[in-house]
Amino acid sequence: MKRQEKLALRAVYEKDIEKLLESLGILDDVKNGQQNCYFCNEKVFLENFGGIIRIGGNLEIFCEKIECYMKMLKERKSR
Amino acid sequence: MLYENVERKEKQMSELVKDIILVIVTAMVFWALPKIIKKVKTFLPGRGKTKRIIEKGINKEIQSMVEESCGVNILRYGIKVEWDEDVDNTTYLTKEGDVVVKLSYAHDKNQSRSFTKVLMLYLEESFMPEAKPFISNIVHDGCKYTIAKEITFRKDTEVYRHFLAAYLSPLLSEGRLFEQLMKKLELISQRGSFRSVLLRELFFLLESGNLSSSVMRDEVRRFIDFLWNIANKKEYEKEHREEPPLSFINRYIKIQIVLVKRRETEDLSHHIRAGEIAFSQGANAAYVAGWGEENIIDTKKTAEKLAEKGFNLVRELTFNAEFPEEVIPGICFVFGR
Repeated sequence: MKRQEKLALRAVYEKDIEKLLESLGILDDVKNGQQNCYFCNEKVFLENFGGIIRIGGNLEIFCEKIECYMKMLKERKSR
Repeated sequence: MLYENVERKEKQMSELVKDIILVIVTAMVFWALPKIIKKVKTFLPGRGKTKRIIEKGINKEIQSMVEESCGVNILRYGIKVEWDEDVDNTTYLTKEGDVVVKLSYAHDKNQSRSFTKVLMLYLEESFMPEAKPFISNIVHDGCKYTIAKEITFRKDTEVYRHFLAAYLSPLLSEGRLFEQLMKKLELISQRGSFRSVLLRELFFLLESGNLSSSVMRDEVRRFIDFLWNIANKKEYEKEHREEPPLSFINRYIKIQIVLVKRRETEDLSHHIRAGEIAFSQGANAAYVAGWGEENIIDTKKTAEKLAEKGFNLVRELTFNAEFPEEVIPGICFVFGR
């Protein structure tokens, strides 16, 4: 059977997080603990970075906790 | 002299051919080298291997899911993981909901975390998105989590454990309704009718269009109960002192289940009649199913008879029906659309 089109899911490899954050201009903020998780409000550093999402026109960072990942999924679902 | 000329020309030709072959081989090596390197990298620990394990693993399961749902596209897309650094960044993270998630290798050697993470994100986008207005959130989530449960279970014990502990258990403890629904879907899945009947019917329901959300939500909920009663047949019979209904002819969903049971008589006419009556009453599909060696033979005979009578045989499916004490092979013939 012919496979249908593929859904591209964007990911960042753990070793490339700095490059991604630098391209978005927030690397120093994250390194200095000035960014909080959008969902749990805990400080996000390079070590516990889970991802980044556009919400309400802003780029929001979330941490790597699964609760926050699931909240991110819910947030996307509601849009 | 003439002979020497011919010999020299032959030698020149052979040199030329050698040169051409060398050029072609060199060109092919240069053309193929990046691809070979890329391929080799997918087997080395790191970015490439992570991508390969996730894409290959999920795509393989998507393919099986679609096959086992009688070929209907319950999962609309395949999956492709794109590394952020490999693609143009300006085109992404500009729309609402655009997301980039971190995947690891060093802290996730068996890839159970990354696999589950990508799977859940994928299902959010790919599992019947058009169904959301017509089936309740809880049913949509229930079906999605049941698919995830089936996929992770088949993938690997570690992945399955991680999915249960990190994703499913917290949700189950959040709400009693969701927990009850998941139990029903689990039993339906164990008896082999989750993909082949429930998801297939949901798919066709959405294809038919012109739906009323409130009627449909209620109907889907009752349809799940209908399938659950059949999956839970023994308990149902104890409680109600009769067999569960095998016919579900409603406004949108119109199906008949024909359960070919233990041979007490050679006569299969009542099974055949059940199929005939269902179609005469407007059923869109009849699922003729049986499990266990003897029942499989009778199920095949029943299906043959129905086909002889002109009913449209769409698909033949084999499955394993899981019971508390054993796993029994089963067969299901889908008639109708």
